[in-house]
Amino acid sequence: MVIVIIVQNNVLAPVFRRPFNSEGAAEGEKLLSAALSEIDLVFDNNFFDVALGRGGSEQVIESLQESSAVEGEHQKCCKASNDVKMQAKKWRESKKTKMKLKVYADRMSQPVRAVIIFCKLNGIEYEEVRVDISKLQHLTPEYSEINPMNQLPAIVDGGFKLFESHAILIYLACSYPGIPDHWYPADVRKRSEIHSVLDWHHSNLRRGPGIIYQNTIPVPVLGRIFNPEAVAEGEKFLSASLSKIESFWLKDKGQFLLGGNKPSIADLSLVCDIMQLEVLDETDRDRLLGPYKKVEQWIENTRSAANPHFDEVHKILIKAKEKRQNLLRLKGANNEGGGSAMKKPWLSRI
Amino acid sequence: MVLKVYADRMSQPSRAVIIFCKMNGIDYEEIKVHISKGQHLTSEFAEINPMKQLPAIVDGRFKLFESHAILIYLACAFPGVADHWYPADVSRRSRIHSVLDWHHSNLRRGAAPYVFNTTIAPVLGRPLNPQAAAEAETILTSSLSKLESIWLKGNGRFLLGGNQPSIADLSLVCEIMQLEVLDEKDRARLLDPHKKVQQWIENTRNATSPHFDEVHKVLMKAKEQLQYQRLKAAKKPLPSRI
Repeated sequence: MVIVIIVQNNVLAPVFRRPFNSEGAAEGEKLLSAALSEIDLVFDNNFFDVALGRGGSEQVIESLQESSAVEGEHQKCCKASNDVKMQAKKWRESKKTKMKLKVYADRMSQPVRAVIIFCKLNGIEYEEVRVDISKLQHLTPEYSEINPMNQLPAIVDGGFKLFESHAILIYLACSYPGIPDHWYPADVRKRSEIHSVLDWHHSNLRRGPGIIYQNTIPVPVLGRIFNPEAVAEGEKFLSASLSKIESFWLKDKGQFLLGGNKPSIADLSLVCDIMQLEVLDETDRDRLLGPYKKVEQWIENTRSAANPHFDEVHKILIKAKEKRQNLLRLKGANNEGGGSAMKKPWLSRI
Repeated sequence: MVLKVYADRMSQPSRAVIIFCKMNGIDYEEIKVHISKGQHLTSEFAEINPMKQLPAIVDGRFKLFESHAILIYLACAFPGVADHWYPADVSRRSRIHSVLDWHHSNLRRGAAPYVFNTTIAPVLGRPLNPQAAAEAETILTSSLSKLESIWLKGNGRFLLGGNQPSIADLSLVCEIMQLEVLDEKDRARLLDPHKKVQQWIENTRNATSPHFDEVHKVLMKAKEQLQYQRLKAAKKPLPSRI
């Protein structure tokens, strides 16, 4: 600023049609001289030395120290902030591994398959922890810590444990981002209808295929033997349930339950249950499912909507069926007779 | 159009829905459908619920059956329902779903057929079935044990360590109340070992008072009648029936 005053009053005055102002110029020179002295003082006192920690005048040191203190605090804050950032990053990374959803599963279990297929379809990252029912692993004290009811599936999400497949499906649909609404709609009435099917399932369909399967395929370690009475009871529940699905749950136009054009968690849960029948002889399966055309179409619709994961998760049933057929062949039984040549079960279509 | 609740107060899940409505000031019209008279099997009722079971609701044009689905619907669709009945928090809500689902395959699978096959069947013109009763008893005793040791674990007054009741408490307690119609010795044999369960029933009853007792009057009347018949059959002195 002082330089401007000097120049204006000595050199440029005539340009701005002002008279030379020698007094103004002299005043400017005084100010300039004082400023230049200040600068000298700083340099004479080795400002940079002080800044570089090599000593200097007390005044400058004090002022620099003040600004250093401020700078120090600032640096401390930055460091602390960076520390926190690093810690947070480490915590997130460590938690990522710990917090990864765990699904305790045996794919021979119908409700387990529903949960796994749902995770795969919706890109939910999970770790499948195999719990082999045929080896009684669901009855161990370790597993009881996960699910005191000793049943599958169960999940652990961070510190949160949950069992009962319908509760799990609903939890996943609500907790994980990006899951399309049709799986578990936000609309209260649509959602209530899904609850209605899921609840009905517990007391009806669920008492069908599973019971038939458990009482047809002997598993001595689980105390399961061929029990024709129990099979008959299971078939009674199954027929009544399939009839209700055919005439009521699938009564509306739509590819899925409740007239839906996209699947919900109810479709996944119920279809996975019916799939247990695939382990039986084709004759038996066709006898049980054959009368219900809408049901058969709906199973196919759900399979298509959930593929390739549906087929991949159900591969275990192919193996179980093959194993059973081999055993029966060894015993001399003919398992391939009967049934329509036109109607092939889905397993043979894979 | 006011909410219609199709109910028989002898039905455990019907009672849960009615008590819930009363507790939360939900305006409703109770339409009695007498199971003992076969009214649930009529074609008129099939229009409401093709599964021919109770309870069912009609809210405007919206029809719904299965009591848990109904309780959840009412908790979400009607204003002013306190959060503890069906919490908004996803984890807490999921745990309630877990109990409700477990109930279907366990407590309900045990209690209802046990009571039916030891006591109620003749009232509905059906024979008693001791084998079915025995199977149901195994499931019932196992369920009561699990309630005592798992669902009521901790210091809360209600299921899942809650200090206020949820729809799960209401549903399960109404189920256990059906045991009131059993022979007194039978009921004591089943319930006495489970102190937490007994306390929890009392807590739920208190929390939903006075509606709980009022809605259970039908059951208590049935209990009295059945007790009278037992005493008569055993040729024991009958209580005064003034």
